Amino acid sequence: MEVVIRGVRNVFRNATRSLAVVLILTVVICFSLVMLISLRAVNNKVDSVQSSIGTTITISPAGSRGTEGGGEPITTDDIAKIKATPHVSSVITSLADRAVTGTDTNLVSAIDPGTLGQRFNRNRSGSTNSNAPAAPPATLKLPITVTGTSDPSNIQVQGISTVTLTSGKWFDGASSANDAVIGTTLATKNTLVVGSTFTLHDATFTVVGIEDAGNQFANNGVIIPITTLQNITTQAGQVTSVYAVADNLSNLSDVQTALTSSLGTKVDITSQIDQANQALQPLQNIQSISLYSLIGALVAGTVIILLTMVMIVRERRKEVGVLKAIGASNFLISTQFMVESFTMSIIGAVAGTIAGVFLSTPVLNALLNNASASTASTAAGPGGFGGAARGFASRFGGQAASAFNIKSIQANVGWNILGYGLLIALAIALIGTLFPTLLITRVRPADVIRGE
Amino acid sequence: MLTVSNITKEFPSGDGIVKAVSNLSFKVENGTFAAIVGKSGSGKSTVLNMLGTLDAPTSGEIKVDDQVINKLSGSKLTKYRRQKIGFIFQNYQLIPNLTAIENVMLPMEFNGLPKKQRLERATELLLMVGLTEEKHRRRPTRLSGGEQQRVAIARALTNHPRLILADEPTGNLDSKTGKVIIDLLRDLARSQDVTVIAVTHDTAIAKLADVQFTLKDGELEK
Ligand SMILES: Nc1ncnc2c1ncn2[C@@H]1O[C@H](COP(=O)(O)OP(=O)(O)OP(=O)(O)O)[C@@H](O)[C@H]1O
Ligand SMILES: [Mg+2]
Repeated sequence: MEVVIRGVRNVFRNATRSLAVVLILTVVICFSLVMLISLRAVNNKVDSVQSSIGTTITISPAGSRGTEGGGEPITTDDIAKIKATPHVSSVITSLADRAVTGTDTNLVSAIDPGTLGQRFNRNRSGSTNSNAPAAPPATLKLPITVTGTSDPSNIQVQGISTVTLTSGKWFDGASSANDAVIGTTLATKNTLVVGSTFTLHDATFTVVGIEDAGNQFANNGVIIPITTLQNITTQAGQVTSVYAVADNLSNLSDVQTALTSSLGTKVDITSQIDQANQALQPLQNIQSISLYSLIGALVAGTVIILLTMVMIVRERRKEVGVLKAIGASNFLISTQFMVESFTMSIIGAVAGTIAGVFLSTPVLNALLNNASASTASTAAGPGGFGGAARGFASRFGGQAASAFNIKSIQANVGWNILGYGLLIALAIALIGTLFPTLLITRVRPADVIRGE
Repeated sequence: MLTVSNITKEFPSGDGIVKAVSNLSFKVENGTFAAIVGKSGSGKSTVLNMLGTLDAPTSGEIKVDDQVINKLSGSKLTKYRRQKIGFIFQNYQLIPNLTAIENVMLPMEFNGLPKKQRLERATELLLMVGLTEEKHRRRPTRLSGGEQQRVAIARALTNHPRLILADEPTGNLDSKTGKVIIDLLRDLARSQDVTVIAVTHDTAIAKLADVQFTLKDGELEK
């Protein structure tokens, strides 16, 4: 106990030097904590983004865009290749089509063409008169989206957002029956309920379920078994999109690579991993900045303690010799010096922790702003990362958007941070004082006392 | 009884070796105040350090009450220094940020004595060496040289040593104070039955000792 008191009292022997050391340690510990807090916040975010990534890979003909556009349909051959790829747990195929009221179907679109619709109509009719009256011709009807799928229960991964059945049931995706699930608005517009029938490409379909996808466009669609759609539209074996589900997240990128090499350039292969990586890029920069800063701060703190303690031991060499001569053990003298360095670093830890708690949030925000700003300007041009995230979010639904919003990171400052601050301080003091302690054991009292 | 038999101490120096002490033998009875005199460089401090286990002789043997002390090491050595030896230095060597009484209590703390007993004995010893109570809680810088040396003597006595070793204990004191300190040491040797060996080059002071050894070039001068 006395040795502890002596160690603490020794801190005040050279108060100016001790104050300087404490101040430096305060800065070091504050800095380390801020970096540690940032690192943990960012690590948590990276984990949560990675765990929110779906394991689905979308394969669509090159040049197509959603249900629109061109390109060559994916063949049965390609699907066989996809099914044979290792770590693919299931393959969902879908075919997109549009049905025009009157020609293809007796259903009427629930979406009013509106002002935007008129534009298309005017252009198609070849009118060059920009002052033409705004009223649309009575004949204009928007087409109805028809989706053929092999797995209706997994419809939400197929680019159609979150789908819930409001009544009825899903059809069997492997069948070629004339069963259909239709969107709520389309059902209302055409006064259809479960059990009603309608015609599509000269075939009579039975409504087996009504779904709600949460947006007007999707709720204006018809979903039927893919084989049925291929049959009625004479597109046997053809699909517009294939969804390969990897057996787990860690294999996602391998599966994507394997598919890219086996299918070549005629298809576009995308998964959430690309968007996630793009979103995570600035975070990974922050991770390495924080990690290196943390290590740098720890090394600097240790060196400061080391140099200070070496200085102190040299200064008190004679005193160490006297203590040995009057019967103090190496252990006891070393303990006294340890207590001295621990005292300085604990004071530094307390001050540094308080400062760190207040600074962590602004520093993390600054790092985030800086990192995402630089990504936006260097990597992606105008819109940059934000644009990518928005495009992604709109395709995959709102839930993905918040998970990938890297700016929503919170600096999590809990009581355990105080523990970390103290731990850092003690580690710095311990490592920094080990070598000076060695110097203590090597002091020979005879030499010291003779040289007075 | 302190028995020194044929001790030699060699120091490596440059490319050769320096023989600081060669083939020295002498005996000192318990309760004796002995003085070692000799010119500068004659080996006085070297002998004293070997008697105090701060240094080991290159060859030869030192015995205190039939215990060979020049082969001790580690915790045995520390314990021996703490319990059997008291050192007094020319520059007093008190710990500067501890008070007089704290300095005296230090060796007892190393020896594991409870605080109350440490305080009692330290007070008793300081009074015995002639430091009045109001000076017990002063730091060394606020004490005179003579007073500091009294504190150092009290510190050397705390654990009831067999041997008190003093290297030029009066070297920094005026001759009057020096004589007071030497008288104190001689009285202590008798009253506490402890062997005191003091190094000095002041022949007047050496004459006060019970026994006197004169060193010349590391050997005893007859
Ligand atoms: N560590 C050492 N290394 C080398 N030589 C040493 C060492 N210690 C002492 N010597 C030498 O041993 C001899 C005796 O030294 P010592 O200090 O014992 O003399 P001394 O009688 O105490 O002298 P002084 O009266 O000046 O204190 C000297 O020649 C000295 O240079
Ligand atoms: Mg000497």
